[in-house]
Amino acid sequence: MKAKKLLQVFTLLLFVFFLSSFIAYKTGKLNGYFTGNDNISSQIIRAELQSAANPSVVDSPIHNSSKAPKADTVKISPAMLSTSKSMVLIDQKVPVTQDVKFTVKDTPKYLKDTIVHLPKH
Amino acid sequence: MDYYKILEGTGLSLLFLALVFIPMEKVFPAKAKQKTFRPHWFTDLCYMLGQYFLWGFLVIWALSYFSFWLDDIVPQAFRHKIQSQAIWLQAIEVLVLSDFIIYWGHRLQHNVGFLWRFHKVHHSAEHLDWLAAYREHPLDSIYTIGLINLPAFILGFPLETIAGIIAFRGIWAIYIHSNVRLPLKPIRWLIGSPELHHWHHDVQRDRGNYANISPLMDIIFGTYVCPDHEPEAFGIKEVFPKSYVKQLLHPILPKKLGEKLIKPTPPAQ
Repeated sequence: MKAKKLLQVFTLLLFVFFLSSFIAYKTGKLNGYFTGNDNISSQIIRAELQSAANPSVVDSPIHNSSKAPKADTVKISPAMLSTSKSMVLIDQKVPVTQDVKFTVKDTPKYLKDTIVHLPKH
Repeated sequence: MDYYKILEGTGLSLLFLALVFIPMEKVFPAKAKQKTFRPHWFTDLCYMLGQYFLWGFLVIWALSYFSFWLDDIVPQAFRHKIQSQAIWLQAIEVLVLSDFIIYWGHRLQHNVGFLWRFHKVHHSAEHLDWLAAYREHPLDSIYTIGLINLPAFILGFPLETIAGIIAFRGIWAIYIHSNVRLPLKPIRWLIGSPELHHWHHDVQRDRGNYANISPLMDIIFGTYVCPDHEPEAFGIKEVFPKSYVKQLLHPILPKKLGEKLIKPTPPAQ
């Protein structure tokens, strides 16, 4: 009887220990995932542009639609970055005479750290 | 996609969970005669592996798409107003709303025919243990996880703030399915335990106990059930396929095709 009680207490303590460790581990992983600081979500996915030769405005990093700009500058609209909480560029005009790269953060896992590449004219 | 890392993670998870839960099920058994390798354990293992290797990504993709869609339709002014509150208050709002929404969403799963088609996959388990927690149709997972996270998505709440609670929810969901009976009498009104969830898995489809982690919603809405013994049997009354692939197909096929997946019971001799 005493042995059984001891076994129960020991098993329970082990369970609580493992539970706490697991929660601490998972919290760290989830935290990294949600903020983009974990190893898994740091994979960079490049937005595909319709044509590398023609600079284009990427309307949405997710849907990869694009339009050819007519002006000397490319406007990156808020709609394009509407899913991100920490936007790098918001409604700013970027000269197309230089390569532009910026990172869209805080997007869901498979678009974490999406680099939107607008090549120069 | 790094498949080696996924494989490693899956193997470690399986080993860890087995090492944690099997001793608990042996020392505090709800059904003492249930073996570790009980009937249909392999089917549930397939569900676990399927979740890690196949459906997990589908679920995340669907939720991402859903989140984007909400970003476009929820007014930013509303979100700014919510986010101007203290973070602890936001956390409480998100958790209470999550519990409320998933409670009613779960009741709908049991009462609406279309939703029950998918949710009964989870309830088809006739033996409950930690592994049976993984028995869930991927479309049912999308529904459930979508509802749980809906308040956070709508309010634009930073989920990393409640990462610990999300992690706790995940492991507790496995625990409440385990073959363990360990009543937490002092705090049983605050946090659900296996004996509560076992009654939810009773053969009676509308037995009760629909709440997620805390049974408070069941208490408030009158669906709290907690006899002092285990249910006689788990599962569902309908005839249902036994294999993993057939169980995945059955809810999405037309009724006549779905019936062909069910192996007829041999006549009694």
